[in-house]
Amino acid sequence: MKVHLRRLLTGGDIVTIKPKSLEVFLIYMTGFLLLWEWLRPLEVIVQIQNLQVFVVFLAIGFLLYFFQLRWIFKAIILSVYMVLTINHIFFNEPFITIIFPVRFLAEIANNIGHVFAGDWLAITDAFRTLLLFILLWLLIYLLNYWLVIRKTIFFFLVLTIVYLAVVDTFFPYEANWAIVRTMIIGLLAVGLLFVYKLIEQEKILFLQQFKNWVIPLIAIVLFSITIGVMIPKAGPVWPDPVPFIQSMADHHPSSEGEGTGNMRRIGYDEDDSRLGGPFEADNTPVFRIESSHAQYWRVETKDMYTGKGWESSNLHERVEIVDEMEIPMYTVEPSFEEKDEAAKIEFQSKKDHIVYPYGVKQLTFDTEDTFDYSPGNEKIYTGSLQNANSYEVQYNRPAYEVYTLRSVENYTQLINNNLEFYERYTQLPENLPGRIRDLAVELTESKTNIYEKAKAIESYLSSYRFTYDTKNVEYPGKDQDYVDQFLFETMIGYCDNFSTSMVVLLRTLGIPSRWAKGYTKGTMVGHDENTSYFELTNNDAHSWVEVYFPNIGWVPFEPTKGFNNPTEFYYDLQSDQHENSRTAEDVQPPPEEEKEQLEKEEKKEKESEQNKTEQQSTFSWGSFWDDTKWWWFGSGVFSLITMLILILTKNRWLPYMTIFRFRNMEDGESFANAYLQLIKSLERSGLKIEDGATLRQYAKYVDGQLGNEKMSELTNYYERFLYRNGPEQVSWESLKEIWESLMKQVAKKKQT
Amino acid sequence: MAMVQNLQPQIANILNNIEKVMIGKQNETILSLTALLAGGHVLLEDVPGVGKTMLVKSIAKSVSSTFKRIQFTPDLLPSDVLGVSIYNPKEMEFEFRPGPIMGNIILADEINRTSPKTQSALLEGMEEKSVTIDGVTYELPRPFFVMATQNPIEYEGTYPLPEAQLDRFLLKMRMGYPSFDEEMEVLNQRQKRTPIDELEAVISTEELVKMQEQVKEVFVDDTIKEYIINIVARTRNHPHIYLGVSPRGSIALMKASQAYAFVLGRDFVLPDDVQFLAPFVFGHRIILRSEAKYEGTTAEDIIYSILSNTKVPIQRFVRR
Repeated sequence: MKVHLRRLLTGGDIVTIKPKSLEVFLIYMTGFLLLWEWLRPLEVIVQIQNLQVFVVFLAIGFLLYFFQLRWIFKAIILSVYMVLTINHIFFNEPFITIIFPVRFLAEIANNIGHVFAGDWLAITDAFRTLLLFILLWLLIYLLNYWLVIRKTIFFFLVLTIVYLAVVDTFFPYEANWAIVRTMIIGLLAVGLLFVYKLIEQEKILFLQQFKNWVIPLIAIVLFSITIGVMIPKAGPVWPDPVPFIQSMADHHPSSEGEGTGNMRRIGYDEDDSRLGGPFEADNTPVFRIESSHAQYWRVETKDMYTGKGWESSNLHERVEIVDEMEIPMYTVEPSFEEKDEAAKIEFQSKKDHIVYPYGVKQLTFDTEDTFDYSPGNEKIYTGSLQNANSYEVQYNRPAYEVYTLRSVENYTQLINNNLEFYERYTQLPENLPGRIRDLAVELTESKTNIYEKAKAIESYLSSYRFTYDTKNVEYPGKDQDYVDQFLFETMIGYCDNFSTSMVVLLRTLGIPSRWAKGYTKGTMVGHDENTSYFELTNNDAHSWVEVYFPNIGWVPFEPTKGFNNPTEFYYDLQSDQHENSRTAEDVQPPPEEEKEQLEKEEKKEKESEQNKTEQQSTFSWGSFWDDTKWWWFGSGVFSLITMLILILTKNRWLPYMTIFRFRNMEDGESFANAYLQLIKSLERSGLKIEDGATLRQYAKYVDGQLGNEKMSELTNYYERFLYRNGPEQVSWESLKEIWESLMKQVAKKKQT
Repeated sequence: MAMVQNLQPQIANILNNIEKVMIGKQNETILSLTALLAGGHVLLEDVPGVGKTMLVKSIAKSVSSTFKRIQFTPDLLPSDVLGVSIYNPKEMEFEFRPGPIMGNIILADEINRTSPKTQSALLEGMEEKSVTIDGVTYELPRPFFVMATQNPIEYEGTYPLPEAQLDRFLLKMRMGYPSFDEEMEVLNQRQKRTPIDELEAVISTEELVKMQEQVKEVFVDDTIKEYIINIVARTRNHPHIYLGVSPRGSIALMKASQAYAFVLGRDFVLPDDVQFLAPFVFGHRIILRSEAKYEGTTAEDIIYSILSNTKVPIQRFVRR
């Protein structure tokens, strides 16, 4: 560490931050801890084993810098550690033998060959480890430079936080405490460095000052961190940027990342005949799923709305599924399906129902081959599955082309062909209040096709008018309709309210629709190259809406506020040229160029749609204000108090500001200004200059108060400058010391 | 006086020399020297026997100048001061016999005892630095320094100097009684000898004249001039003052300040100089209203109050 020995003005005390002292150790410690925060997520992101090896490397590196070894020793020690470690992990040869170095060098040479060939995948783990070591070494060097030479860490701190935020957003790494730790360490480091800078520049006496600085510093940091952790935080305005960004990145527009924030759902319950009322959160895991995509997991659908809840009209029919037989369920017409996919589901606790994705074709249990399926509610019964622990599901993930969906304008054909089906899914209780239909008509007046109508209703329900809440939800009154109560009175509810309302609204318009039950995509708990691991808990139980489109099938919609529909919708611009001719039959993979074009458009569409839904569904200034008003209030009070303190203590800090301001000025004019500033500061601290008093008299008075002769000395020069008319031979440089020490005395002086 | 440590070296010599004779009158000595260097004159207002003559004599001796004394009496004629032409029968012509005014340093004792005619003869000489007798103008020697005394307690048979005449004096000061210790020292000193006789000159007349020239070079910043003008302006508006300080008063204060700064070994004037001198320079130049006089307020009191209310310039280029 480069330490400048400086002499104090008063007497011969030497002000210095000694190398190898506690103070320097502290600052290296913060550097070490900050770098450690960079390493921690690696364990999760890239599955680094033996992370402690790198942490030890960091520690050794910082210690070497702390003890100021010569670079050659640093290099030797760190290299030996690196080589030993790599040997231990990858080769495990006795180190003293000739074999290891030869192998090691051969390994390096080999890998360098790969690097130059651009053959990144061929690089061995040992070489990667070596590279990581070298990277860390560079970082240690960089931090040493920042911390000890430059004495600034702020930029690195900001980088660290950005890094943690990114990692937290895109990887299953929980950075909450990492951020808190980083803030504590970082702020302490910033504070300490500031003190050291002051010591170097201001020549304040070190040992006494250090305590005076550090204790308030720690107090302030802890105080602000505590406040930061404690204060209520507004929910994200944009609840989860990940799906959007991922859709940009991997063309799966509606797949979702983990964690939609703070939404909670009731556990799965088969009886839906009386809906309403609040529920508690329940984190019990139910299923663990290996799948390539995030998607909704269906359990059953219900078709009969009673005014209070849902029932199934046809439960008698059962189909026994045997031996890899396909499940006779056509949620999607075959031609609209995407490629085959598979998922593996493990039971975690309950086994009374089975979840399956859209487009399910086959289920294979680890124990049984036979199970019951009920086409009436599309539920798979688990009666014979008590011994099963997991099952695999084969499915075709559906994707819906919006243009085709839009082409459906009425159900005339369906009514003609299958009136029973149509009536079953447009069933409504007789005493349904008329205003529900009025609302539905009003909402969809301007829409010409079924898809737009459904979208309009979906948007309406996701709008600011409705509030998602699981606690303050009332049961409907005795003669009250469940949907009517939610739509027109309470406007507060959870998924059941939203989905039921949408189904009922659609049915009043004669659009066949039904209520789907199951689980949301769950929480991503891990990630492989191709597979993601999700955990479904009771909180993930959910309900949504399916709308029937002739020739297409049951298409899921998501009216619940704060939730995103994971189903894939895509937009095909080519359809415009095809006019209405495009049907299910002529869907073909578009040529490569078109595909690119298509994807771009898709992204755009998706983007605008995303923005739209976000605006409608989650953001409203009113609720934003409600959520954050205490925060605003708190910060208002806090800044007021801060300002007050600053004003009251201005005599303490203002002189230092002034010192700082005049530090680099050299001419006589600025000396005069500095002198006048000094007088102002003195006056502020209670040493008023009287009208008739000359500078000499005042200087004498000040010197009497401060107990030295500095003011008179300085005044002699100023008099020369002022009354001798000119900046001649006033050497500001030499006077600066006197001036600064006076300013500091003023700052420390007790207020009179 | 506090600021004597930085005296101009030659002045310090003179002062030390005079201190051999004058005990505890450093301040008055410095003021006298200031007036001498500024080319002005001093009006000493004090009772007899406090060392006025001794002060003047010792200054005269120290600067190796001729010392003359005029004791003013009611029957003193102007010719007794200026000199007279007497017919010399041998040479068959009038011969000029210079009066006591033809000296370097003159003590005009009890100036208020003589007739205004004689007074004005002296005062005119003081102002013009020359006298005209029988149509012939005689230059007065350089340096020319008059120290007039006035007895403030006897008014019977006196002719108080008119205000216009008082203006001719640069400073008016008092001697004051010595303190106990000082007086004890005086007594000890005088027990056996008269120290004034042993006093030697420390500088020559030429050197004194040169110093007078140097005084004119002492720098007066505009801020100081402003300060002087501010003080003067206040004397003109003060409710207790009937007649304020004239521009001649402003000039006097500036010149005195220059000389005082020189005495203190500085080449520029400080507000401190102005403040210190203002009561001495202005004290005899203002006329108080009767009410103020009856209240027992003195001119000096009022000047001090004006000084304590006038802002000292502590910054460049500040205009009102």
